[in-house]
Amino acid sequence: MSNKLDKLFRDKLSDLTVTPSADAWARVSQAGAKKNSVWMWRMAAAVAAMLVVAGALVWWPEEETTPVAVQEPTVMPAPATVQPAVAETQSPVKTEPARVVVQKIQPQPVLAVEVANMVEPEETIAETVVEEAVESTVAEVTVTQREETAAAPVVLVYTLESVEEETAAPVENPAGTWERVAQFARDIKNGEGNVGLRDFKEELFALNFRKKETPKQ
Amino acid sequence: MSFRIYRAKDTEWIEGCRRRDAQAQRQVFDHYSSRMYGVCCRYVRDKMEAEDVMITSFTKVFERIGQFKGDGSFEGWIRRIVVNEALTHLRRSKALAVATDIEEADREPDYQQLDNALEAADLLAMVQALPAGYRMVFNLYAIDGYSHQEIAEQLGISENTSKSQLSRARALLQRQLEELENEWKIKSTSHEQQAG
Repeated sequence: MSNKLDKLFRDKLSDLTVTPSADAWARVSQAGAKKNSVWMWRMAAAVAAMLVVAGALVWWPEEETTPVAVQEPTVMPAPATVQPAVAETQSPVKTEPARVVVQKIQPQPVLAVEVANMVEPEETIAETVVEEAVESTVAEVTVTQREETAAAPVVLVYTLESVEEETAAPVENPAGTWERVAQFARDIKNGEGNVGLRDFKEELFALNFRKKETPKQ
Repeated sequence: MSFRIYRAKDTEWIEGCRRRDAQAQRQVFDHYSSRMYGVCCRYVRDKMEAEDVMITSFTKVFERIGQFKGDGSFEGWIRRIVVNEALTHLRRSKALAVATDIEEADREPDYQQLDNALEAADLLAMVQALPAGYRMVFNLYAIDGYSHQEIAEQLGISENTSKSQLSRARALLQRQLEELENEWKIKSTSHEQQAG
């Protein structure tokens, strides 16, 4: 019984043909094109994301080191100019650490080399800063630097100790890129470091990406 | 001979589809779409929905053309994609079978007479009138030749459920055929009376 019933339906319906609507092929090709475009967009997004990550890894460390170096001269002048005046008056108190340092590091030529090393990067940084054409504030900084170096070598002995500590840190850091990135993130979190995100944001907004409204005719 | 010619055409089209050649894809669609639309109409009652299923199936055919190994016929491969797509559509629309008790038919209809008298469209209407669960199992087993084991795997049901759904579907269809036979008898007797 069931076999006959099945056979009746199978014979009549297994090769049943129904003509599809006229736009059926257009819909198939459109669906295919849509899927292709979705894949294209996904690929493009993936490539863009990769570029952003790669760019961040390459450029972040450089951005990090230059602001720290630029920051030094701005901090420097205040203690450098104030301390000698105090040191002259309170000479027994202030000279003590200097003596300790000299006792610890006996060979003096090393100190001289350090001084030479320390002065050179300051000059190069000043040059680069000037090249970048950052305006009035940086120009002032360079002037003060020249005054420092030209004023008195004795003053430099005091300033060296503080400068050594500050410059030593960034030199040790470049061991790993991720460590530098982590340090950079920590600086942002703590509000330290001259990241300039706010400036970047303002620059970005100043570009004004809005479409210009064309008056309707 | 004709079989060989079609196989040659198939391989030519398949190569074209693999190269994403729009013309080859169009030829495949023109050749198989009406038959595959027929398959969709057996599973999905609504004609528009059935066409949607057919269109989605063909986009998948062109997408997955690389997966066709040439073990069986190209048409069989397309048909399997279409059936799977129809089942997915029915599952998505939550067309589940309602388990109702159907009385067994009293007597067997005259299948020879029915075969002569009934058109494919009449039988299609009967299959489409079945509840979705019965329709799926009847189509898969009786027309597309799937085994109960395959149906159980496809629909995520037990083999016994598949068997019981099939027997209920048959009972429903048989009752409809009997009703048709009775109508014809009434008509023929009324004609005889008028003639007499």
